[in-house]
Amino acid sequence: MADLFTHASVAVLARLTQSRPAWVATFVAGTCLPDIARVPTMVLTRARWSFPAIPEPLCYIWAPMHLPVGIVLVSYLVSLLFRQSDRPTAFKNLLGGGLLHLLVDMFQTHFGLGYLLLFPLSDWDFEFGLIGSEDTVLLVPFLAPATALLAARRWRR
Amino acid sequence: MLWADGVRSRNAAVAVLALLLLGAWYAHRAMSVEIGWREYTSDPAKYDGAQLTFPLWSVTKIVDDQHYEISKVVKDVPVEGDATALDVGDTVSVVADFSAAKHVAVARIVEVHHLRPWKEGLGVAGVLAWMAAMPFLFRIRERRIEERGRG
Repeated sequence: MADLFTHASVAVLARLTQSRPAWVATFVAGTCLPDIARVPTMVLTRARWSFPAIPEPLCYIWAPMHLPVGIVLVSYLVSLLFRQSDRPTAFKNLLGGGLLHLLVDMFQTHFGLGYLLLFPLSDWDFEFGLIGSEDTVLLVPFLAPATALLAARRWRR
Repeated sequence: MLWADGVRSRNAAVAVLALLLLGAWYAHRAMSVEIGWREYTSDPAKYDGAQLTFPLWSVTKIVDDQHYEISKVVKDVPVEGDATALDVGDTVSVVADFSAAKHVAVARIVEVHHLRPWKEGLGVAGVLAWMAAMPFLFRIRERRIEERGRG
C-alpha cells in the first residue's frame, strides 16, 4: 500500500480538478478507509511478538477490507451512517474512493503476491509493478503543495 | 431495500457477518500456506532447497554478521545471509532457499526498505490529519452523518 497521505492527496486532486466537484470529503474518506481498516493488522502483528497468546487469525481477518469485495462491504456499511436519501450517493463516493486507493496501490511492486482482486472467488493476484513499495514517499513533496494549493483555491471560491 | 431506514440494522448485520466470514476464510488460507516457513519446518526433508519469500518482514534480531532473524505474524524466522548492513527494526523483503540441515532460510535476494519509516510516519500523519479534519468535513444531524457543503 502507498502511504495514507499520498492516497488522500491523490483523491483530493482527482476530485477537485473536476469541473463541479461534489462529495469531496466522502470520496476522500472512502480512499482512506482501506488503510484505516489495516491498522488492527499492523498493531496486532507487532503486539503478538510480545503477547503470543493473541490468536493468529486476528492478524489476518482484516485483510479482505483492503480488497475489492471488502471495499464494497465497508463502503456500504459506512454509507448506512448517512441519511437515507444520501446513502446511494455516499456509497458511490466511498466506493469510488476505495477503488482509487486500490488502483494507486496496484502501481507498486512487491516480493511475493500482488493484490487478490477476485478474492474469495480466485487466488489470482495482480499488480502493475511499476514503482517500489515506498516510492510514493518521494512524491509527497510534490503532492502536498499541489493539494494544498488546489484546496485553497477551491476554498476561496 | 438496500438503503431504507427500516432495513438498515438488518443489512448492516448481514454486511458485518459477510466481512467476518471473508476474514475467517482469508485467515484460514493465509495460515495454511503461510509463506512456506511453517509448512517447510514441519517436514524439513521434503522441502529442502525449496524457495521461501518474505515480503516486508521486520528484522528482530542480529545474531552475527551472517545470521539474523525476521518476524511478521510468524516470529523469529532464522535467516543466513549478510547482516552487516542490517539493524533491528529494519524492514526487509527476502527471497531465500530453505535449508533442512541448518534449519534456516538461506537468503538469495534481500531488499532493505530504507524509506519504510518515512512511509509509516506519513501513514500515521495521514490518520491523525484525517481524524482532526473530520469535524470540519462532516457533521451529525439527527443521528446521521452529513457532509458539510458537499463540495
